[in-house]
Amino acid sequence: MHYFDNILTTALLGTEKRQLTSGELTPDLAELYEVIKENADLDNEEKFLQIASLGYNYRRCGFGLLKKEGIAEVVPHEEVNQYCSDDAIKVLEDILEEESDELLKLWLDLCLGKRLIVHPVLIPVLLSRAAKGKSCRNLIVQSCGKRGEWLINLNKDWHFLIKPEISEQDWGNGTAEQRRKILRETREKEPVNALEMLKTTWQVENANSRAELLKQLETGISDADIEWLESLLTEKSQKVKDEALRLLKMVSGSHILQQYWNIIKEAVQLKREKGFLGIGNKIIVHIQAPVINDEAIYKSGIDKLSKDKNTSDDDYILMQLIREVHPENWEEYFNSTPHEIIGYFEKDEKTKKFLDGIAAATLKFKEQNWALQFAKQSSVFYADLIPLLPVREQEQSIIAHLTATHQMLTWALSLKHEWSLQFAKQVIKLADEGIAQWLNGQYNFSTNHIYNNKSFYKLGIHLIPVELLTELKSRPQEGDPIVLKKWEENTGYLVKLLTIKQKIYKVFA
Amino acid sequence: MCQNILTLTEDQILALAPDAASQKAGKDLGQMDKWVSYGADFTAIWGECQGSGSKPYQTQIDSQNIAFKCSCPSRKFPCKHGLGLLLLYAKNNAVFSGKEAPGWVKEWIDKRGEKSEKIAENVAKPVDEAAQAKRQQARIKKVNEGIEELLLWIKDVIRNGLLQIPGKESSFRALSKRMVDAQAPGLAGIINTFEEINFYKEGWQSLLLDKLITLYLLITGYKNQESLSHEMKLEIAGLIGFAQSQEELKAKDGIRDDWFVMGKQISEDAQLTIERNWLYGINTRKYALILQFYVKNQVKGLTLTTGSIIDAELVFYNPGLATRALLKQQHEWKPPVIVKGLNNWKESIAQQAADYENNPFTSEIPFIVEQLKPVIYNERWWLKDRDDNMMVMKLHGDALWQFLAASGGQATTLALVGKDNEFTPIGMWLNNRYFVI
Repeated sequence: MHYFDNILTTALLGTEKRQLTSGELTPDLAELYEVIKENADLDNEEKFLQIASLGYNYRRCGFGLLKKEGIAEVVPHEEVNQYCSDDAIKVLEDILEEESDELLKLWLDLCLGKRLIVHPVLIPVLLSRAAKGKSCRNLIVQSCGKRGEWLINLNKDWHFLIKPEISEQDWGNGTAEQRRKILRETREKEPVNALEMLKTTWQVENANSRAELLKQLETGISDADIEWLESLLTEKSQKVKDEALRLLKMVSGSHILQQYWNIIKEAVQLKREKGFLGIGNKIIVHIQAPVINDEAIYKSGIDKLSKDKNTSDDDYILMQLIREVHPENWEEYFNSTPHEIIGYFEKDEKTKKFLDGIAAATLKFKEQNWALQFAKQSSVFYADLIPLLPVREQEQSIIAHLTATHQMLTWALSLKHEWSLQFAKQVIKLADEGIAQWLNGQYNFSTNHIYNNKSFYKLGIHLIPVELLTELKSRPQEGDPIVLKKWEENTGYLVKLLTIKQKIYKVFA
Repeated sequence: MCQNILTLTEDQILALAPDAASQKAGKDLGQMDKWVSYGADFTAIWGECQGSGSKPYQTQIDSQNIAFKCSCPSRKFPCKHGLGLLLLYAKNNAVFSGKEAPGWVKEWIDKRGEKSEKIAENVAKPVDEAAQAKRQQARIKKVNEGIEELLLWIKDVIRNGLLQIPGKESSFRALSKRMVDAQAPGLAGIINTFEEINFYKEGWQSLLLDKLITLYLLITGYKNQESLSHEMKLEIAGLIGFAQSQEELKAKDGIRDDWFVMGKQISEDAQLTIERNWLYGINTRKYALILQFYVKNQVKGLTLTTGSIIDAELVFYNPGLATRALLKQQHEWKPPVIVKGLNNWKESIAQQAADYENNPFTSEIPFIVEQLKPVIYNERWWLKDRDDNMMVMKLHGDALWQFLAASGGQATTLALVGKDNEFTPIGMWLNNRYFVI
């Protein structure tokens, strides 16, 4: 045993129970201990403390080094991509200071677009951020390059940031999550192969796994899947049957949607009503109660009874059927354009309400043409269809139809494209009356309530065009200093974020 | 004069901020258009910043004695306005000049001057040596009684065994209070560190014994001081709590050198923040430790920027035995140079052994060692030198990842602080630039 362990053992047990002997020490210390022990003025405890004190410094002065050759180096792979510029790093530091996820995403997108990576010094900060929140996680990992991967592998708290590489070879033995990913990715590239892949293992999957894997077929679903999906309607598991049916309702050619459409056709007809002496002939939509002979229809998710006292059971059933079928069916059936069809339904209050069903089907099948017609023509505004509209029509629809401020701001923030300057001004007008007044040349801040819109600007900075900066920066040169100060407070944060955004574009130009 | 506030860099000014939020807010206010008026003269910097109220906030800085005053309601010190004004001055001092101080600035500076004069008068008063000697005798008597009690306690612990200690940690606090009463604050401070020991974690036994031995050595040394050198007497007196007068120290000749600021370690002790600034003399090859203590909302008297080199005169508290020093005079900032370190761990542990032999109370030791590479062995991080000798690297959390990210696992020259066989990197050179860890 090491001599200091003997000293420590004695200290732990106490000198009353254990006495340290010279034989437990090194020869140098043992010799000194013999001298100490001879000192009759000292009690046992102090004799021990004296030799322990000598042993303590003897130990400290004698620390040796561990010599090890051939220990594997811990170094990252060489980077493939170049580091971004120092200026870009400065902008990144500004973004991190402002804690703006949207600006960070923009910075990372542009950095990766230029095949550049982040300087190593900022990697831990970024990886910690990626570990705390999903936002920008993948972009951060990619932008940290090989050194980032290396650090992730060294820090077990970051391991989850890199998902192990998987390929089709792992289809048979991957984890449930990996297999779903493989099927989804194969489905995106080769839908038919993905289906065949699923078929090969179908018999050995349990019910839960079958239902979960089936969900992945939603991507790239087509008529080619119908036959197999319909064969699953006789499966034992209700979960699997429900999922198969849900998918079949997404394919126009499926038997179930054909059945729905046949019932609709029987119930809804386009009729030409004759006017006096042929003058004023008009086309109307004639609706009668749907006839359902097959009870299986009700088992496919169509309810028999209306939940609304103002809607008859027949109308309710018909509405549910219309929501499921593709809107293109109407074009062929009525031999009319979406514009004309919406017009026919709108003529009468009794038929107008069924446009809600066609609008829902438009959303379900992501029919852009129908969405545009609804936005242009319908007397009812279907906000859910906004994402299906072309970029500028989305902005126009929001301005034209949404009157409640919170609703408009929420939709404005949901847009996927950068706002036009005109739209940005409109949004900010609502978001901040103070700024709007400045933009309109009226800035009496002393009488207006000043909104704190920092969080709104933070959420929407990726949508606000940099061009707005010029107008916001043209500070009024004259006026009451208090008014000017309030103007700055109001615009200051937005100006700061827009300035950073402008710099992002500049450093990656 | 310690340091002139008028020459502070942006980093140094930001280092004065009480927290990160103040740094950010201060930066935002470091813009010309945020200020309604501003100016500076030899004694002060001042400005008016429009806040949310009708009257602008009046912010002023005593540039001779580093003090801030602001009419804003913030409880932070210095407030964001003070920081913003100083940042603005650092960037654009030319536009501050040629302005006469307004009344509210003159009034404040005059009042501060009056206070300083009163303090100076008190200092200049003749010392009643007899009374002073009497007070000193009384204190020594108290300390003697205190250390006898402490020795008794240590012997009781040794007789009954350290295994009796876990669960009786409250006795530390009572003992520490007793040492404060005995006017031996240094001993009280060492006893307070007992509470840092985790008695549920393996290794507490050795940590506790080391601390008991240190106390015993101090007590024994103090009791036998007649046989000790002047330096060792000074060291023991300092560790027991007999403070040296800073004014007296400053009156002594110091060592002028280009001092490289290796790093800064900050710790909290109750309300007190302790800042440990490690310096290395480029020409003298001496290491120095400058301690700074401040409570919340107090402006630091000294701002040393890590990685910078200052031409300065340092006075060491105990030149023969310890690294602790104070900054007597700072002359100018020097451009960065590559600092030459030790070649390997062998040189550092030889130096360490000599230091321990010379002074058994030596605690942490700073070193600059070249070509150290982080490696993993037995699931621990080590620093391997060019001769394949390794030392445990004591670095955790964010600092570890920061170090690894920047170094990329490559060998680099490191500034380290540590003791025994564990060292913590506090800075490193990469591509001729110094990075703080």
